[in-house]
Amino acid sequence: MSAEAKEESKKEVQEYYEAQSYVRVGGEVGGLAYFNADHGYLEALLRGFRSGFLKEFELRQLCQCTTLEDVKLTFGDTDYCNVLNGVSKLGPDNITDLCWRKCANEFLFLRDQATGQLATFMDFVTHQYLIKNICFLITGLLNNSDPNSLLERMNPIGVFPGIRSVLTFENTQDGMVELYRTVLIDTPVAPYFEQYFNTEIQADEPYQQLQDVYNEVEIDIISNMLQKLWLEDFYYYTQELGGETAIIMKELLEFEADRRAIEIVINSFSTALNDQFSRDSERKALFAPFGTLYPEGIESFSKVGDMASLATALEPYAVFRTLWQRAQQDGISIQDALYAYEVQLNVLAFQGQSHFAAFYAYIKLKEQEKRNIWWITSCIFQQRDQKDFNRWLKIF
Amino acid sequence: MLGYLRSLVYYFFYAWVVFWILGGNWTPAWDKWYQVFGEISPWAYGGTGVACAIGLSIIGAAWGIWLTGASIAGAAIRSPHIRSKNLVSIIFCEAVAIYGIILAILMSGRFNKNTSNEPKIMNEVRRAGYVLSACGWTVGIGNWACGISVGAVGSSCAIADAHNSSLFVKILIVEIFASALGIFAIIVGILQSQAANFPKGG
Repeated sequence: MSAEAKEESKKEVQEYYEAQSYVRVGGEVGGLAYFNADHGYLEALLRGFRSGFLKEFELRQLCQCTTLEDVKLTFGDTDYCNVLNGVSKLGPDNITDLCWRKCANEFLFLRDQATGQLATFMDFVTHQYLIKNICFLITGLLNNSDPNSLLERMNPIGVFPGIRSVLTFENTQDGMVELYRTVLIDTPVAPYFEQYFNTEIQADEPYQQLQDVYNEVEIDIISNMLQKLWLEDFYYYTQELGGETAIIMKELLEFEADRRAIEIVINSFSTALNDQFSRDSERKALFAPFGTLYPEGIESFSKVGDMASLATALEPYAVFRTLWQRAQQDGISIQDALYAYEVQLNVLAFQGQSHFAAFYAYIKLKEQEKRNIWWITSCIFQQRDQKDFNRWLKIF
Repeated sequence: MLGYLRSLVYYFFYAWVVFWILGGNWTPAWDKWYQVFGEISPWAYGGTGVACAIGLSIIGAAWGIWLTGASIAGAAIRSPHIRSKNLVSIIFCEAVAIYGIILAILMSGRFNKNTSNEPKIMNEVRRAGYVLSACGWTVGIGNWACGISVGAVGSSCAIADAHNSSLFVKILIVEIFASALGIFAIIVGILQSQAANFPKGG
């Protein structure tokens, strides 16, 4: 066998074993006296990474930069010091992508060493990105983008061995079912696709949805539906874990479900989902069955058709009412206010040892840091006024 | 916790029913129980006391080192400067095992050979045996709890020190209080072992 063929077969074997490692481990997680046996090292490592977030004064220094070269110099004192080495052309997308890849490497480093319930927990976090990647690839194919550039632009956390086979998707009748039968059934997110297909088959027009040729909006809806199914699965799993993990993750995931519901409603205002008829059937199916807004708030969303009625629907809930008022007073969008509250909740997740919620909160806060870096570097690149910079959020 | 208590109550209830059926009497036959427990040799009581003192202390110390060591190993990757300072936590855990061995040596020094069959002498021997057993359990369980406590605090200490060096001394104070528990246990243990007088004789 030639050297190349040997390499290929070795890679296939490694991919096979990586795929086999997606085992789901349940049961309770030990408390303060037992946790460190299996997961103490990784938790301490994660807390080391937590010290590496950009602090407030470093973000202010970044805001003071005039060019992107200055950004590279400012990064020299932080944890990102080696990230931009050797990069010829600096741009906001470039910088953000490289910073995110560093974070993804750290997360995957932790995941590779995780065992037992922690491994399953971290797999759940990656599944969300896997769903987003699959839908991103399908959308890219619908837009006839270059396949190689699509693979490069995927989120590095949600990569499943054999994900390049998703590129065989054809936008024809039965294209989705074929893709599921050949490729997606081997991925860890196959149960969510299966549930989605089952609900579609039981809908009024069986098989019609699956036989359609898709456009971007419909892939977006499918992505939201799959993420809802993922969130539900994750929620019940964390409740099964018990202890501190269950308590903290309950709060975080309930807020995630609420935030997602509000975002779906806002994004649906100018689309077909906002029709009186589809509010109760299609849009409602995208909301998760738990959270503060469930069930009364979700019921009242069927009457929501614009921002004003959304404000009325959120009135009974103290948290969202204060966030809405804050958004109106400070002149920021409600999504930014929700992100700010999310950062507060996730920072609280680091208060306390011996639980898994810190791993989830770490990724969420890194997402916010990615948004921060992207916003600041975009403002620098477009040379906007200093007052426009202030959309970034302090994390720690 | 409530689940454990509930199962413990069920266990005692079933045991009571079984002994009722086997013994024919629904109140415990105390004199027969005394015959069973009283026939165990006082030397065995004393010996297991020494075993508990050293064994459970070592379990506590090992548990503490295991809890702390994992955190120090992980936290030192990004902040290598914590390595030397945080060995103090490991030393506190080790001290717990040392308390155990001090007591075990003290206790095993109280044994004296005595083969007489006189009831008076045998009562003395029994008294000494029971006291040594109690002493062993005191020291053992006390140090076990102390070891776990020091270990749990030590792991938090390492992580906090990695993030902010000024926190080390503050959390070390908590750890010092935790290791004081072991000292309480051996103080009581020493007093108890002084009361264990095996009479000398043939």
